[in-house]
Amino acid sequence: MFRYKSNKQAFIIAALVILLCLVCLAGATLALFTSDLNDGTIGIVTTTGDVKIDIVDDVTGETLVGKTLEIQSSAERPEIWFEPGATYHTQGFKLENKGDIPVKFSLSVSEDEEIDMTEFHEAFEVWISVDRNDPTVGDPLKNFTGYLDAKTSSETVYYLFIKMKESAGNEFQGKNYTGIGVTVYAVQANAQIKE
Amino acid sequence: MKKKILLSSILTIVLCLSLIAGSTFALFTSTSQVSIAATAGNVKMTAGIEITKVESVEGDENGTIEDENGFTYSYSYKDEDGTDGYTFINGGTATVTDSVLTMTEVTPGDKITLQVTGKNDSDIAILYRYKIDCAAGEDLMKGLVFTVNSVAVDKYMATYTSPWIDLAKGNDIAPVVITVELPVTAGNVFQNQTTEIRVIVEAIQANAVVEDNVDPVITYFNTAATVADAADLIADPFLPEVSITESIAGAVTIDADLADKTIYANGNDVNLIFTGNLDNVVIDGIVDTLGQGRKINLNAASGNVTITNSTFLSTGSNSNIAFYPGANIDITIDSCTFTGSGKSYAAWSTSAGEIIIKNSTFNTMGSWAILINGTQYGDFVIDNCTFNGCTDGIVKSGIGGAGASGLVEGNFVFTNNTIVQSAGHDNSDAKWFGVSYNGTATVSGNTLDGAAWEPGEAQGIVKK
Repeated sequence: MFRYKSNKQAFIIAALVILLCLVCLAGATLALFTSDLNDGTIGIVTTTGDVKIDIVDDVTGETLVGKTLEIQSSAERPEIWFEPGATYHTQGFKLENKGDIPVKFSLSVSEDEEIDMTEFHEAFEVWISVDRNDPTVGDPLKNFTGYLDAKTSSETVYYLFIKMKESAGNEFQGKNYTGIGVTVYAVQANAQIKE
Repeated sequence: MKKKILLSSILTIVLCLSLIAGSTFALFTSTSQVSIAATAGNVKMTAGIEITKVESVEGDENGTIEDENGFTYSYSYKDEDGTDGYTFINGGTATVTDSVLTMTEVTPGDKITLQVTGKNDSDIAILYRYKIDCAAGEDLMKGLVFTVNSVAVDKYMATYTSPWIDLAKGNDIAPVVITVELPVTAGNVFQNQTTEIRVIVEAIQANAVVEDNVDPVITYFNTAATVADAADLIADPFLPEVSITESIAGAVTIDADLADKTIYANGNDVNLIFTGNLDNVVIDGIVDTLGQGRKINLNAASGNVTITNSTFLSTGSNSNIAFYPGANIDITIDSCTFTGSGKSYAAWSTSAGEIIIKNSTFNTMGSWAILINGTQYGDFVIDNCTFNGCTDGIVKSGIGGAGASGLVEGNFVFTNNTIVQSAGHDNSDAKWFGVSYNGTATVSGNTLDGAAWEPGEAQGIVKK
């Protein structure tokens, strides 16, 4: 009578069962052992500010870029004719910071069309003032800087005063200076402004 | 009978054995069951971000940071408190919400220091690494400068991947300190831009096979090795510097106006054709290995270009080996070498503005070493150059055939040059030069085969 060697048989079956389980486990680890991407992802969103400055009409608030600043007559000088010593001022204007960050600004007289600025500066002085009735109050344009917070229009109304120098000689008689521009230069408030 | 019984027994046994082999669940079984509970491991990595400080520059005459106007600054403004959020000097803010760091109104000279933390919340040991890349808004990303764990990363970083690092179960990662800065030199092109940067902490089971690099792997936005990439990157206004990383076969045509751009060829060969205006463009380090015609073509362009530390070849006849400028381009050539064979020359056609050639060498040119086949509207300066074996004339500025003279509207300067084993055009002493100038001529400090030499009208330098 064949005698069943139960121990050996049992071992084979048990071994087979274990083997099957191990196979399943090895297959599963290949799929499991990486991290879920969402668990370890950090976002950094960066947005930069922008610098935008405008010269605007002191009454209407409309931009004056592309337009001509009026030179205004006075009771003493009802007509606008420059002669040595004559001083006039422009219409009032404000400066508006339309950007997202505070700015420093400066202004300069520049050529808008092709004119000889050297000759202009030889004949004229230009300064900026906040009092249109007192030409002695103000700063030479090259020394003037200002500051504006973001999204802010200046409450101050500015005027440019233009004076023909007493030293301007006869060579300037009859000359016509059109096409002179005023440029406002703005930089972020912590930058150093170029002259 | 006995035999019969035996046979039966044998047969029976065989049958049983067969059954066992075919199926484990046939006869003669005995079961003894053991429960095995196997739980698969879990890999889970969590990560977070903290702001350490924000900084902004302020004017400092002793500062080491310089803007494009020469003003100096230092990072003297700091916000390390963060109680009410972090604020940059111009009002920009930095806040962290749900693992997202948001910075607003950032301006040149703003910098943030942040710390990435993480933990192995897995059931097992892992390997982890961290990556930085751009999810959106690459243009602003191109302007940002990074340090990672106090090591500065070169400009124009596109991606950063750290090596893999071991981490036991339950342990924290070593904090990663990252600074992100918009430098003071970032120009207006970066205004009103947004970028989304990701910092990803990846984890994998500890016994996985992974890359074994010990240094971080970094890619950059500004490197090019193909015609298409080089053309796109050179034209990209957000990349002031472009690096050519391999020699490129074929011409790279840039149909764009460029300003303040430097192209580093890094000793590679590349043919560049510019059709737009070039305002302050520098080309450095071309090594011409093919000798096939014009290497830098300034077709229909204007502005100013500087070419430095480059080597040009000409292997054919009548080859323009370098330049073909449009009208009124100012060109400076510094520390370059031109080598030719046959009837070859380093040439410009049509006209140019100011030309300055200095510290350069011209070898074995078979035709005029320097030829401008048209009018120059500025000065023409040749200083501290060597002409070696140039046997058909040194400099011609002219229109038309041999001997014809064009015009240098400005001044002609020929100083401190060394001429060796060379000869005039058509072997004529009267034709070392074919230059007619409108301004003044300055000729001094030159030598011919070791002896002092001051060429003038007799050698072809003629006042108009």
